[in-house]
Formats: sequence, structure tokens, C-alpha cells
Amino acid sequence: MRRPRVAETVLGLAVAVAIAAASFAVRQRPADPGGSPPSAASAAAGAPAADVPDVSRTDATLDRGDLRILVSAGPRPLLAFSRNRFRFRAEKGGAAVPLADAVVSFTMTMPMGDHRHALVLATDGWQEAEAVLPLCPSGKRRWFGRLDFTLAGRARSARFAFDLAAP
Amino acid sequence: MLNPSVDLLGFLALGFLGGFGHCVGMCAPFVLLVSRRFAAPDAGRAAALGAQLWYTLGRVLTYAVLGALAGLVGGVVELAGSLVGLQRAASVLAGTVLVLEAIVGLAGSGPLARTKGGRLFARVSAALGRRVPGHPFGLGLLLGLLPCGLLYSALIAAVSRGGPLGGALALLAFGLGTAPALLGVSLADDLLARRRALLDRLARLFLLAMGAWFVWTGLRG
Repeated sequence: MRRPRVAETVLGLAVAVAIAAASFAVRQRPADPGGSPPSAASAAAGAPAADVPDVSRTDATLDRGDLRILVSAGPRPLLAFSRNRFRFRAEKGGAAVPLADAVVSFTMTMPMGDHRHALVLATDGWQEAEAVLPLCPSGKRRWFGRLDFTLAGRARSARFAFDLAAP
Repeated sequence: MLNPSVDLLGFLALGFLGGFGHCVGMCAPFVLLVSRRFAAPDAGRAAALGAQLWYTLGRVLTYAVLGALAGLVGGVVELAGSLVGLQRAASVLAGTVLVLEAIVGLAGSGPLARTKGGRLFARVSAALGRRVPGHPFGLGLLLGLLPCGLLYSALIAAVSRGGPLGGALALLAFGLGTAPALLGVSLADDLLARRRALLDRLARLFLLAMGAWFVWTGLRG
């Protein structure tokens, strides 16, 4: 009878545990490796849906104290592998406020890489980004967006959700 | 701003991090399949590693071709549309191979092997085996076509590389980045496989579940 090779089995288990630990660590770490503010990966993906406005069908308003951010997405329905435009307009006391260093990032529960886009100023005063997002073959359609920006020297963020349909 | 430019190191990092966060979960069954199909249990670690390297090379080459296509067409919309049928077929075929491999493996060492059903599964598996690549490099070429969200993300980013060469290099870097995680799975499997009996059965059950999932994904589209 062959003698069990305990050392190799233990080594195998150690490698398997290391892989599992690395997988767990990668899933927990922010999706944006660029060292930007805490990413949407862990925060938005794990957030309860009730807390996150859905912009799939209608525009939404994100209230952040005295700051109100209007969020619009289109064309609807939002489709995978298509150019989707995400637009933002921040208001304070009814007046438009430009968001500095504004970046919108997109994640879902399945790791899908980095999808981060800097906002540009549109001619109508809104700030916007176009994003092409992939389709998850597992059938998940729910995506989460996170807007990071600086206002009065302070880093802030706002989250929203949407469903991405198959093209 | 659409498709921010990502440098080659960025693609490598996407593959490396995604390899642990995504590929280990989704592609581990294929790594197990390659080890079991192309390296005999007693052939040694070098044989298993060799099979895995050939498989990885094939997979990375397919990624590079897809990257070149993405760079060439300048968008993933057209590419995704033209690939969808091929990817579904690859998913169904790969899933079917996994399921049969798992069933034959589960039945092979037990009393089921001597039953009519066990022999039927073995015949079907052998027949299917003649239709799938007989070398890990070929299997890698085929399985590189599997529908994969992380691969789609890399292709979307590769569009901004400005041409077929840039797209190919980007996806080459991405594919190479995924290799350490999957080779790690192979190494763990090889080392753990010294305790064949229980672990092998668990691995087969894993293959069975993932194979069924791939078939379902491919059929559902």
C-alpha cells in the first residue's frame, strides 16, 4: 500500500488556502487600483438596494445634506455593449454647483474589472460620462454606480443602481 | 469620457487581480479537466504543469485574436454580436464535456462502471472526446471563446488601443495576467490529488455542477 504523502497534501492544502485567501482579498479590495476614494466595489455592490436610487427607468435625485444631485441615464433601456450616457447635475440652494474631480465608477456583484470614467462638462451645464459596460454571462443584470467628487475641498460620493439589459 | 486608455501593465493587473477574484471561481473546472485529461495521475507534476502551460498558451492566443478583432473593428458591440453564437456553442460543448468527464469519473471507480449506464456514459464520453481537441493547446484555443464578463471588460478597454496590434498586445497581457491564479489552482489540485479518493470525487462533483451551469448558460444565451 502506498504511503500517504502527508507533506505534499499539506502543501496542496496550503496553496488552495492561499488561493482562496487571495480571491477573498481581491474581492474585498476596492475595484479602482488607482488609489482613488473608497470604491464602489465593496461599498456599492454590497449595499442594500433600498438605499440606492434606481435610474434604470427614471431619473433620480441623490440628496447629500444641502447638496442635491440629479442623475440621468440613457438611452433607455440601458444596454450592455452599448454607449450609455450617465449625466449629473449638482445643486446647492437651487443653484448649479460644479463637481470637481468627478469620476463615476461601475461595479456589480461579479468582479467585472475596472469601469471608471471621468466626467466632462456638457454644453447644457450637466457633467457626464459615456460608458460601455459588459454583459455578465451568469445572468446578473444589476449594476451599481458610484460618483466620487470633491466639493469645497472635501471628498464625497453618491451611489445609484441600474439594470443593464442584454443587447 | 469613453474607454479611458489603459496601458499594458493595466491589462496585466486586470488579468492578475481578476484571475484570483473571478477566474478561479469560473474557470477552475477547466483547469481540473486539463490536468485529468492530459496528464496521467502518476505522470508527475512536470507533466501536469506542461499541460497547463499549453492550455494557457492556447487560451491567451485566443484572447489575443479577440483583442486584435476588438482593436480592428473599434468597438465591442459588433464583436460581441458576431461572437455570441460561437460563444454559446463553446459554452454548451465545454459544459457537456465537463458533465461527462465528471460522470464517467464518478462512476469509473465504483460499481456503476460495470452497469449498462456506466458503459454508455463511457462510450458517449469517448465519442465526444474525439470531437474536442486532443491537445491542451487546442482546448485552450477553444475555451478562450467562453463567454466571460471579465474578458468583455478587457475587450472594451482594448478598443481604445487604436488598432489590431495594440488590441492583441493588450489581451495578451490580460491573458498572461490570469495565468498565475489558474496555474495556482492546478498546483493545488496536483498536490492535493495525492489523496485521490475523496478529493477526486469532490473535484468531479465540482466539474459536474460547473458543467451543468455552462450548458445552461450556453442554452439560455
